[in-house]
Amino acid sequence: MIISAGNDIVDLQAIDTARTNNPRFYTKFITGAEAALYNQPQLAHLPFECFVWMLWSVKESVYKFQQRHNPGLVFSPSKIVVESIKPPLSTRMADVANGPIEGKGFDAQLFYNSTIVFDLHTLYSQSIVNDSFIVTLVNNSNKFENMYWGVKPIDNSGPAYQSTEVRAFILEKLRPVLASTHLNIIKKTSGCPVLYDGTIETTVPVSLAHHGRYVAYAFLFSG
Amino acid sequence: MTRQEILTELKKVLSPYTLDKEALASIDENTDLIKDLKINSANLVDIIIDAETKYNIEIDYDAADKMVNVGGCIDVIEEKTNQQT
Repeated sequence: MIISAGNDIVDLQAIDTARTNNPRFYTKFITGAEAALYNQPQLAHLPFECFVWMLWSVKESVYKFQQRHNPGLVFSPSKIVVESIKPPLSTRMADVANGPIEGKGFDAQLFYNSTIVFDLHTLYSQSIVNDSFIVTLVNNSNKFENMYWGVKPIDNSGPAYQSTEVRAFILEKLRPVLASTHLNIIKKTSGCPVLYDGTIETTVPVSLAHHGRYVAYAFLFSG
Repeated sequence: MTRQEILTELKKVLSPYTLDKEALASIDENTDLIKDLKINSANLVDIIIDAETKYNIEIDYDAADKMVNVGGCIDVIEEKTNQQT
């Protein structure tokens, strides 16, 4: 079983709602079987555009998870198949804070739990959907107790600012968890972020995401 | 349309989704939309839809998967527009 981390964030203020609801848009990455998942009564409270972007964030997170060990992997969202979605126990989306929020593991009150199949692998995701953002974490076991995650609103949606902010956000969490002040994140040419302690590459898988005015991190650490 | 003509028009399709206008001005077939132009992956489908509209073509799953760099975008647009003629 590979050790990795994959996450994604969608800023719901940065999406085009009318375009999202157009079949011409969502059928580019959602299959008919996946779209049918929306018909389950348990998802009746979820706006369709949130369903579409949750599936996108799940697929993107799966890609990041798999790409760490397969740097040449191309993101093909239609080949990452969401087979089931279990809604959170609480459907009151507005109860979820707009951020910053951080956690370890997941709370069944808040998260949508999906099962995904990609290239004969089964993966699992946890997603928070509220009025402001969708954040997703992926793992290859349905146990997330060693998965740290965070979401934070930022002031500026420029790519350079997003990149600086997301690194500062995760490093602030990692330093006390790993008991090191020499941590740094460097992206490989594949785009995969790698955590270094001084000049040593660590085995802690990290994943970074930004969209609009939100940044998010995930990392796996069991020490 | 030549590949160079498609590339010139493609810049207009990509422009709303990148702030790095300097990088956009100097794109070539190897330019990666996410890594080089800093386009957010959430906009990849927007680019496909905008290309469909601009060239009056339909881009399916498999073709869309190739549109991660400029060369891939040109391949798909060239193939789909040629199918119409």
